[in-house]
Amino acid sequence: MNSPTYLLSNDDENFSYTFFSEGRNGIVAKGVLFQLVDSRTCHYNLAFGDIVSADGDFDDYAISDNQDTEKILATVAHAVHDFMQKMPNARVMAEGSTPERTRLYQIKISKHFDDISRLYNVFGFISDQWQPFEKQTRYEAFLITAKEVNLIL
Amino acid sequence: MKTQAKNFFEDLPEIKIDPSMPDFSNHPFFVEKKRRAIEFLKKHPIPEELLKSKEGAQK
Repeated sequence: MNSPTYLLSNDDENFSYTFFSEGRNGIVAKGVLFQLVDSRTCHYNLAFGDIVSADGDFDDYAISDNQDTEKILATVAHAVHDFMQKMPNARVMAEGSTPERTRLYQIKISKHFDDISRLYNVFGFISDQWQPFEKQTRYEAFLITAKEVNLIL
Repeated sequence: MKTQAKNFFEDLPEIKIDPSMPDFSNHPFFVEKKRRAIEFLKKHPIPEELLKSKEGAQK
């Protein structure tokens, strides 16, 4: 997993990150946010979107077509890793805004699974149940936890 | 491959702390995402035994 990443900014307060995608169609600001959805189990949701106006409006379905998907996803992975350093007990769930994007996440996780799984446990949701991530399975959502924490627990 | 993983996670560029960054956590776009995630997890909670199982601690 040696893809280059964009430089991230972090507000260090709300677990939000921003970065700028650059490519043939210009510069696109992107926001990544880790949202606490269950404080008892330390469940967070990974939310991600394009900032599409100066007013700070977001779009989940925008296709910037900057030919930098790999770099964008590596940057999001960087944000996830940084967040997990700060919140090692967190369980982070991710789901694409469309089936195609969820599929894209699936492909990228599969591609880099050997590297990711050295540090993180990865689970997938399919047919109404969660299971350990398997490369050939087409999941509807994903969840990761830090490996050391699980070993301690 | 082992070296690559180590390099990716250890040699990442520093993240700039920007206190002036607008707080978008309460933006309707993200509030709706949070609502959907809460709903999803209520319907499909991940079993604790799965998280702690050896199967979960993948090789």
